[in-house]
Amino acid sequence: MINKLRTTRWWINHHLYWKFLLGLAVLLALTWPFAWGLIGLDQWTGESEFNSARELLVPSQSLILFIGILTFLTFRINKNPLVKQEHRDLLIRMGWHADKPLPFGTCFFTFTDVIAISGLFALLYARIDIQNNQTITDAYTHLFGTAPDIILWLSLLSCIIAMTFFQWMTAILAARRRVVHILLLLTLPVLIVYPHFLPSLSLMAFVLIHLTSRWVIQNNLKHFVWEKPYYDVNPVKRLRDEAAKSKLILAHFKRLAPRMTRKPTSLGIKLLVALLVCWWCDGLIGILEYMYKAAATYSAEDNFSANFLPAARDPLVAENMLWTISFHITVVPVFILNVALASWYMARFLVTGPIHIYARPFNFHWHIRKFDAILLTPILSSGLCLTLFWLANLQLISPRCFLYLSILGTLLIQWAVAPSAQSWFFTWNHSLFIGKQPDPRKQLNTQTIEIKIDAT
Amino acid sequence: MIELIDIHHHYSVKPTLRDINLTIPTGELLCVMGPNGMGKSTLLSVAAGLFAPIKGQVVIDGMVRRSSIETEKAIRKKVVYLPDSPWLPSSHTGREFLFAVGRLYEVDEDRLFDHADRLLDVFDLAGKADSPMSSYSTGQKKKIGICSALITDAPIMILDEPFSGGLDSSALLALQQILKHFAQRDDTTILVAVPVPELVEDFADRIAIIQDGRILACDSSANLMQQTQTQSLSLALETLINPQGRHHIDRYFEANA
Repeated sequence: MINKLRTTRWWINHHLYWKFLLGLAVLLALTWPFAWGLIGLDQWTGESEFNSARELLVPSQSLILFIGILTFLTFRINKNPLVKQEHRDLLIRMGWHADKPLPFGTCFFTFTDVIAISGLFALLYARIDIQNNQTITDAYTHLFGTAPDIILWLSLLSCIIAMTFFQWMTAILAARRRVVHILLLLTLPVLIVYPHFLPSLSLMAFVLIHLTSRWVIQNNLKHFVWEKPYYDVNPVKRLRDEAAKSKLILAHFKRLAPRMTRKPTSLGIKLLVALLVCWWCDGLIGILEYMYKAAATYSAEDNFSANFLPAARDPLVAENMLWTISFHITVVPVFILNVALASWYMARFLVTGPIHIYARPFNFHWHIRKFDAILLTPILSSGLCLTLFWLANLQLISPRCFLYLSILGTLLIQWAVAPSAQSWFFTWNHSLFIGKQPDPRKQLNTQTIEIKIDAT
Repeated sequence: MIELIDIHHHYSVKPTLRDINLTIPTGELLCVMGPNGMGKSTLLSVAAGLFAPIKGQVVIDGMVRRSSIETEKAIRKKVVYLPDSPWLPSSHTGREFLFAVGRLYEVDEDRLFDHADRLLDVFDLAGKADSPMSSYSTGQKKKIGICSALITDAPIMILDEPFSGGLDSSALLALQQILKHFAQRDDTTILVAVPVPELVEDFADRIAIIQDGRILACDSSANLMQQTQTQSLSLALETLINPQGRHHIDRYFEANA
């Protein structure tokens, strides 16, 4: 009987999180003496900065509630062994598998969580609505029509959105080794706003994302321990730590851990990812167009979009904005990345023996193909973006066409021309890091290991 | 039974384990000893299945470790591995952690609750059992880690330096007594790494001495002392591992004088 009672207590601790909620309630209660104390101090000093305690209570309590919601969600997500390496190691060590429940409680949101989070959101919205003279109520009415219990519905809605977002993030983390899952998870959020931004459709997209994320997490939990990359309890990290300690080049670990080699991504997947990126950017433009149309349709008084983005009401400003955003999501990152890459590589030219910029004339090696090839990608992708930008500026291609071509072109150049991650790895490790060359005496110890390096 | 067959393991180009061949029959307590950084923990990690050795294989009760998912699952059900510094979920209480680990090993609920209470009493943790583990001292964390290994009732235990990490004298004695009890049983196989010979010389069935990744000797403490013609296990170890040790100490004092 005693053990049954203990089991019940254990269950309550695991599922109701009453300690957390109690702590939050205590913090909220403490805001009252805090507010009254400040008011008292204010009156005593005679400055009278605050008219009532509400001016202090509402923002402080809202902040506590908001942080509380984030903490709660983070705490729940942290239950997932995929988030924490140590947790994963423990489960692997103890032989956990998906047939058994997780020992520290489920990592999925439960009905209890929905009640707790919705309740916290309800408190938060009630506070904000009082403070801002029912702005939330007005916005909700605009989007969904009138509703009798706005705060209740809005709290539930926010709870679903917040849980979905956190679960989606965990799913992305969980799916990091499966390209198809990642593509699916990155594609679905675009459906919220694109091609049609309607509240009911967006809500359906949220539900779809929630279910898909849950499925991805479940799928990964089912397999994660026994998949090869996880089988060695994150061998890459462990070996890199060892590498850092021993100051040896990383390439040797490839020799000693043949399982670390990954299958190269196929051209079809690369093309799919490039098209997906184009689609996301198109979605971004779609949102801008939606706002522009909304601004043109409604009057300023009752237009939520126009209040949100007054500039969208001006067609010229909207066109400029489209251009600015296209430019910033294509040309600017491409330039920054390429300049960083080229600078990083060029910096090695000044310090590393075989490809030393001063050594080259003496060796009559002005151009060393396999090392200098790395500069080809920055030159080509920057050149492409500049050419397209020039063509667009002459109005030979539309902004949207510029966007598609520059994104697609840059990504394909990166994948087709730039050295693969493996060859890059070997190139810079073998040739471009001074002081990290292997000790020949230590190399003798690797004689029994089969060495297979694709020297690039 | 644990069999380590022709085990070689490397960290980068540095060989950590070389040509290790070791058989620990069921019911035996084998203690691994040796200087620091010579491969004791690596050997235990390989035996626990955390590392795949570069060469060789680990066989547990006739099943080859890491040969297939099903085999590995079956092995992990009966093996518990306690690392030197185990991860403890800091927001959970010690008691919750013990229950969680016990449930992973499918220990019967009634047995689990009773066993947890007794273990917490033995290691003087009853007062802290319901506090979050973030509030535990280093020694208390070590104690709860040991409790978590013991609560599993696993027939094969691999314990990496359970005596180190700030255990108080009472806990050291308790752990010694518990290991002694297990050593007398025929159904529990234990592989334990210990740096200090005095802690285990009374009850270890055999002692494996490891140096530079190789096994120098593996025998009972009496036989080791006989082989080295010494009176204590400490001296036997010193003779085997560091024959110049006594000379170095003498030279140190001579220089000081």
